Amino acid sequence: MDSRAKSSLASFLGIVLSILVAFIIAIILIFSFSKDPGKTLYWYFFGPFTNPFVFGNMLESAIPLLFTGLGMAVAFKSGVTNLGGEGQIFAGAIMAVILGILLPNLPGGVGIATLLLGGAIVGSLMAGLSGFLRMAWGVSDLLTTYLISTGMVYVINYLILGPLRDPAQITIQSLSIPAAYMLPRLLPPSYLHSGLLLGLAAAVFIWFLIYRTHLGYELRVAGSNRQFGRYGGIEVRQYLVLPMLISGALIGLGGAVQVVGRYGSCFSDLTAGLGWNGIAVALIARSNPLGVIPAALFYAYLDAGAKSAMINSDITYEIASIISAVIFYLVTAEAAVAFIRRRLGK
Amino acid sequence: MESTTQADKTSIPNILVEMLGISKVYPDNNVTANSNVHFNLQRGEIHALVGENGAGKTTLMKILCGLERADQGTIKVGGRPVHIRSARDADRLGIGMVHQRFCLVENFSVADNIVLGKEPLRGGIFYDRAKAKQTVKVLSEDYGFEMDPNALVGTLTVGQKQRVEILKVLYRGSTILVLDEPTSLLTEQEIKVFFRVLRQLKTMGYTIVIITHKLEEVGQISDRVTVMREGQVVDSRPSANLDKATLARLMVGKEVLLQVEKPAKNPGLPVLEIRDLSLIDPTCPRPLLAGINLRVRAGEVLGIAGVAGNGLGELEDVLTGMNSRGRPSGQVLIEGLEVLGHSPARLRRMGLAYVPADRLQRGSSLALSLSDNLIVVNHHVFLRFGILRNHSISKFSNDLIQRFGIKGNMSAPIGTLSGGNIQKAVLSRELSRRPKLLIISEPTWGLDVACSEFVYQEIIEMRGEETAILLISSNLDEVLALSDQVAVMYKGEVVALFPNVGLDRESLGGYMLGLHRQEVKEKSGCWEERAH
Amino acid sequence: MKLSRAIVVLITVAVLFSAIGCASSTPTPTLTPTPTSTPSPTPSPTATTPPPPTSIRLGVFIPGRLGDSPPYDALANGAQKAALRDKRLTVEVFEAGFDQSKWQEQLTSFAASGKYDVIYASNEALGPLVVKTAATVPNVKFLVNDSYVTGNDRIFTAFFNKYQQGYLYGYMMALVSTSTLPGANPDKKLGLIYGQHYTMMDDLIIPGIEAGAKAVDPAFELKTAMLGNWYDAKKAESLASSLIDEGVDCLGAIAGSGNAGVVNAAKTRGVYMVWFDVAGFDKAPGTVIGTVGSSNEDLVTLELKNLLDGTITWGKPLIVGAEQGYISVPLLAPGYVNYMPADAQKKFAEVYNKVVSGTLPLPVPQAILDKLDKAAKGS
Ligand SMILES: Nc1ncnc2c1ncn2[C@@H]1O[C@H](COP(=O)(O)OP(=O)(O)OP(=O)(O)O)[C@@H](O)[C@H]1O
Ligand SMILES: [Mg+2]
Repeated sequence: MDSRAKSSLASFLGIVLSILVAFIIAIILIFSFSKDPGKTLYWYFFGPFTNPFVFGNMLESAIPLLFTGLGMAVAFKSGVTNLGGEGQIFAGAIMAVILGILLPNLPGGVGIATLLLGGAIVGSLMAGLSGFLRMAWGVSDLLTTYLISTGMVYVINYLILGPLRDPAQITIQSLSIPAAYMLPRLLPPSYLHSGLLLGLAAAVFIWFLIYRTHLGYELRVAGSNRQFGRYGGIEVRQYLVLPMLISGALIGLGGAVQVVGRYGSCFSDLTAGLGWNGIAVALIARSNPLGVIPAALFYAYLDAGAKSAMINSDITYEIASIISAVIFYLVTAEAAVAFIRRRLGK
Repeated sequence: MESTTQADKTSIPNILVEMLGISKVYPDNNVTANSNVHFNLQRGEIHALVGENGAGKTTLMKILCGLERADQGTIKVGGRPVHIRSARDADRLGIGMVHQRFCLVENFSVADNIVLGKEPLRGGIFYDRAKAKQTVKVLSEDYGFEMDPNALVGTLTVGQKQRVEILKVLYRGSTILVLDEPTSLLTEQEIKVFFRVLRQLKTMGYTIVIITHKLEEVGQISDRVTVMREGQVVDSRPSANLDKATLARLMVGKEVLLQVEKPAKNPGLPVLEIRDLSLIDPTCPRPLLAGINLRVRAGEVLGIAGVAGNGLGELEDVLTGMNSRGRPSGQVLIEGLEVLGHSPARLRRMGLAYVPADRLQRGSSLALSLSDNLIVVNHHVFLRFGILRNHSISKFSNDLIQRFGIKGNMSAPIGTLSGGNIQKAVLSRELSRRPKLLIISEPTWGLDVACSEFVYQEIIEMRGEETAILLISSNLDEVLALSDQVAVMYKGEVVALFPNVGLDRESLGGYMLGLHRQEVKEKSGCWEERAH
Repeated sequence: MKLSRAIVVLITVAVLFSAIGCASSTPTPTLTPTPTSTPSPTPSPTATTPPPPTSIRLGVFIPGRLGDSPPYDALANGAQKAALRDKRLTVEVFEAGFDQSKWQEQLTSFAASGKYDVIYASNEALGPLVVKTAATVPNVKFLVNDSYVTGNDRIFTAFFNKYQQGYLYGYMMALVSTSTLPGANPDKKLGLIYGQHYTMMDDLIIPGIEAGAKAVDPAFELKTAMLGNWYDAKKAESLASSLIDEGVDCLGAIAGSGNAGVVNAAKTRGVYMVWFDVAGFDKAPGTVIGTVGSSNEDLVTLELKNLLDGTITWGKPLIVGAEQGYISVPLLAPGYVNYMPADAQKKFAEVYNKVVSGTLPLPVPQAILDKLDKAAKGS
């Protein structure tokens, strides 16, 4: 126990160090691009905490990342590659909308559960298909997850433009789910909703699954070294599919939560980027499900800081994006290097 | 210039490298790997570094090569204090290391691997592959290595990979070579070739450190030897006239027997029967295994000897269900049941325990903790409602750790253990079960003397408990010491099968190299007489 | 005992889940806080004090990026010039980026920052967002172009008659197609490449173009292709090409940076284009032979002048078109005069004059305005 604590402390220190370096670079950038660097710095780093509206929104933007980050962490831990987060989360979202439209008269709680479940199942099947293709014919999951997901995005965009479009809206968006199926807001007027609790619970649950259960153990064995798993008498083939099902389910669930928590309907780009950012979050979290929580919050914080500096000070969208990107990629790169090193067994 | 240290009792000038008061604690698990170590190296010598598993040999050498940082101590090269913070620093000082675990890219060619990280460039930008090949060719000829620069590293034998690793270091222009257990994976023939190379390098002025657990090698190859124990240097002296027993005593701190007692015993019923087993890979000109007929009975050790590349590995894979190459035919029976093609999971349920030759890739998962590694075969035992019972797992792990003297923390990744301790962990897992059939390959690779002896005793004990044991080993002494029957493989065939009475190394050696083959006695038609 | 720990964890999970379930079974509070019931999230006290009449701090909110979009560029430029002309006005521009899902939040934060008395924005989709923001953030006023919201005394919207503009556009394209120009074929087919669906495109511009074309000859047919974004010129080029394959001999393009691809296709295949919103003759003289423009910047200038003069009609949208000179066709531009056949020029001038004088009224259908208004206020 003690040594595990120490080793996670060491990797934690590694992250902290890279965050510090990244922040220093960010400060340098701000000093060179802002006419009032003091003010920009203030808003960049403290802006997200200055009022409940932005603070709540910051927490809200961490919610989908919790789910995608968890999904990716499961994939990493299990040695499968899921590059289809973008499509899976979008599919989860549209599925929630479709169910919401088709079943408008369920009691609120049941309705929400149905929508969430539907989203999870769709994501799960999409990713699971890739896992199956790899198990049955050895097709690279790296390729198929990406292709299936990209194709799915087109299909969903078609649905939004065509059959599901809400003609009463100015913008192109799908019909909305009944208001009774929306999760309660936790901190109005911010958009923070109770999906946050669901995300936190999911993190704890997945952590328990991975580290404390039979299934999790076999996943980790098969994921860290398939040959070893086979040798040890584990039927490793199924662990090409199972982790994909779990990973996709979490990501799809994330999409459904976006719908029942915040938007109530679906439009193109609703979830754009969340799949990829989930990969980065999982890397920063070192694929540890509990680590996903701070990692997602960190990402949300950066985003909120950039927005706040943009609105309250003089830096432009581009500069703010560059600063966020620099911090984020430095931290992610450090995590990615550590990940690769672990994969190669050092 | 300071020329002697307290650890150096012989006081010879011309000291090239001095490590003074080196201490190192791994922060991850709080292990003191080195404490106040003094070590020196004379120009142009071959210096053996020996010690028990986990004594800190690898760590000390990694510090010299910039792969780990010492917490305390100084290093001098050529009398000047130096700071070695990275492999690149070491590189500049002409120090290069060949690791206990190979660091090669399997699907790169030999040439690509050797120049990796220091590629010849065309126009300062593009990788000049032709030049790389040429350089590697010249280099390997200069040093008398026979190497095809185009061959994929994945297709090489262990001995050849070793040479690629050495060429890598030579290519970088290192003049001080650190070799971490270079011989533990080599066959005897390969070791002979390898030592010739080392002697030649020595005459060319290279200075060499060689870590080894094979104590006879100390006298054969080295000029001086340094002995480590529990993170400290206990002695450093000329190797001449140093016998194995003395060395072993220095290492372990007490007498070591170096002898196995094998009580006489009547074998029971057959457990493993192999009938006409062949393995044909269409991409390979000759069968990987050809018409093998063998039988192992309860309470019997069948030793299979052979030079690497003659089907030992393939036999191991086919029998344990790990085969991924080619198509096996024939019959394999465990207690009369046909098992050829069964998955390892099924075989294990039928009572198989298996120690693979490849401990690092197959026998363990380096990223997982020691205890996760220890329970892989029987983790079902620790479940309650699908949830792992950590308490019983710790108890079980602790048990094995104590019994086999594994130096390592059970919740730390097994990859942080010393090379020998990983081997011990794999062995402990497989030997601790009381299986019907044990297939064990190269049981003492990378183990120190005391530990080897312990493993031998365990095997003999299992034999006493009526386990059928198939021992596959390229170490003839080991085969002769443990086996009741000895089979020799050559080019995928069993060319000889003897009861182990009055056998000696020399006579078996001839069969191993394909110089003789046994005439077929019982089963005519299977083996043809061939003259060489 | 590890089992007990496991149970604790499981129970925690269960409790959390049921907490969510319970919470969601309580009635959902209204999503849009009303100005009276919700405290302002603004951290700054300045937002709560009424703006001094002598100065106006204007925040320009661009739901996208500057540089590619005539309405957005006109908005930023017009506002900055107005600030130069009148010292009472200070202007800051904020680019929110293309991510629609973030606009609402950004607009609210922007308005609530306390730095602005008036927010100026443009985009039809902003109508509903502005209504919601105005409800959350008190005191700040909103000017929105290309939107239509009635009855809110802190929101003023101005609306180009895109139906009229579309009509003129379609009329001119049809004239090109029926002309004797080399490359013009007898097929009565026109093409339009556009970036994305949105109400103005679907309900005003495209129907306008069709009506205009049919006014020339009822046999005309408009073939459309959606690019899916506002930048992919390569894809736009291939879409245009396939329209030309179908017999289209005059193309329109409303696809941002994608327009460049349409120009390439038209030039290499020897067909014609009419440009939308701004003068585009220099893109390819002889290929782009007409323009139906809208004077975004003039409208911005007018609105800001009214704002400073205090004559803005809050709550009452302004609809502008050719009658007021905000939609215009450069009939004397050399790129038009030199390439367009004379009889076509003559026919177009006749219709254009009728539209400008009001004898050919082409109003925005009231149903569309109602729809926009309703969508903005939410159902
Ligand atoms: N990367 C590491 N992290 C943590 N502990 C380590 C690491 N490497 C080695 N150790 C510990 O340091 C001690 C010394 O290890 P070292 O590898 O130097 O032993 P060694 O003498 O080379 O043994 P062997 O003969 O088994 O290879 C061991 O107890 C080992 O567990
Ligand atoms: Mg070692």
